[in-house]
Amino acid sequence: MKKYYIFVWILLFVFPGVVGALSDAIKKKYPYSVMTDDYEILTERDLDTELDGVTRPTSLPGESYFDLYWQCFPRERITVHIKDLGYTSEDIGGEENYGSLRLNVWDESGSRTLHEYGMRRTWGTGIAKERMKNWIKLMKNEKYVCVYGSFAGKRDLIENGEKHLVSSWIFDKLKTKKGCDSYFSNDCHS
Amino acid sequence: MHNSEFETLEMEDLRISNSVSSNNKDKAHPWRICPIGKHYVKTHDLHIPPSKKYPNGHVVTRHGHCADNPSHKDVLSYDELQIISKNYFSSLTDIPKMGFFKKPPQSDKYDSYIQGWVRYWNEIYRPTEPLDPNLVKALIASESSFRVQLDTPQDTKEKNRLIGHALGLMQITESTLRALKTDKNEIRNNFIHLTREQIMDPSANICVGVRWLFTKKTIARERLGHASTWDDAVAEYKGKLKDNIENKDPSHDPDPHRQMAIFRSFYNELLESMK
Repeated sequence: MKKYYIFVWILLFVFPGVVGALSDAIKKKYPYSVMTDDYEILTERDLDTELDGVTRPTSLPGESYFDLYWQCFPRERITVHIKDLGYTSEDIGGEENYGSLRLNVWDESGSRTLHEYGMRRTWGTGIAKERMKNWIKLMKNEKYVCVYGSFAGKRDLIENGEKHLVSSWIFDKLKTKKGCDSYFSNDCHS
Repeated sequence: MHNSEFETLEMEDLRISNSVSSNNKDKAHPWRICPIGKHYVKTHDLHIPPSKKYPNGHVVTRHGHCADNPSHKDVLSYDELQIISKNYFSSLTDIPKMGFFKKPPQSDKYDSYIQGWVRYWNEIYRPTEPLDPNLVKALIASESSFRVQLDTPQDTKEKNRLIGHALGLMQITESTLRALKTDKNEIRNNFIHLTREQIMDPSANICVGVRWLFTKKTIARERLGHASTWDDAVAEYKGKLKDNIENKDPSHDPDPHRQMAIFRSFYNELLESMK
């Protein structure tokens, strides 16, 4: 048993990349897929998206809306919001209202930027609330959260006389060490 | 059923569809097999219950035929739309050229379905401004990025399970599928009868998506109180038009999540690629 523990410790010491954090080789293979530290949340499968019919980005955000990028942030900088739009349609059954779901991140690592992650399509309030609850559960007691999405543009926002930059993203996935949730069903791999 | 058997039946259906095909003036469109008021049922095995002659029952082949619709209105069945795709879409000529995206690689795979169904529904509805196939391609890019098997998560509450559950290339919701089967709501004619499994087929999904976009254009016109554009129809398709019209707050951002901006950018990219 003692020998087994020593072996595991050697493995952890010699190959830290194997136990969670993305190794340098993986980062080199997917140079644009992760824009921040991954805090040992992501695996190579999260970046190897060709199998899902999603080409990996070959440049920084802004070239193609098809490209998806991971960004990881401290949990306390993230807030989740739902806005009841006050109307419905036949597409969502005609009984409940549309609910606009949004995940906001204040990034203070460089210039003060608000990253806004919105949905591809506006959902009904019921499913929007369920997604929100699921995200809150995944983020509970977690130090860091990774969010995956495609870059949708930048704009200036003036709030309380202060000018900020807002980066809009289309949400695709949220991942913590606890698990993952995706815009499309069964689209998380790890 | 074995693959080769299936192919034989499919061939049989193509042959039968030509023989049962009725006079063009009785049909909603020349490509249709059955006249208005009937829908096509493909060749299938029919299990006959036990009788004196066949104590264990037996199986006969029921050849493709047109069956009556209880509503007597125009109904497109899965079988018929598959035959239309196979018979006509690969040989389409005299159709607008389509733009292309640099990626993803599968983005051009569905062009013939887009061109075929856009032509079909343009000829059914004859709008003043015909629908451009590139607009549909841009809509697919913004809805599913051409990933055919995708659906959105379902509500865990049983009564809400199917609400807004969106499926396939054009992210058709289960509620839309239901709406297209009856004349209880917006739809008065040109019904499409498909199951949740059938809507995942790319041709069926695009057929329904384009049909629904025409309905959305009509709803957009009613909301706006004047003629609507195809861009308005897309905003209605994405559930955004009412918010844009009714919110009079000057600081209101009509497209906070950039859904329409991305759709328009995809559309422009396609138009640019053709120059």
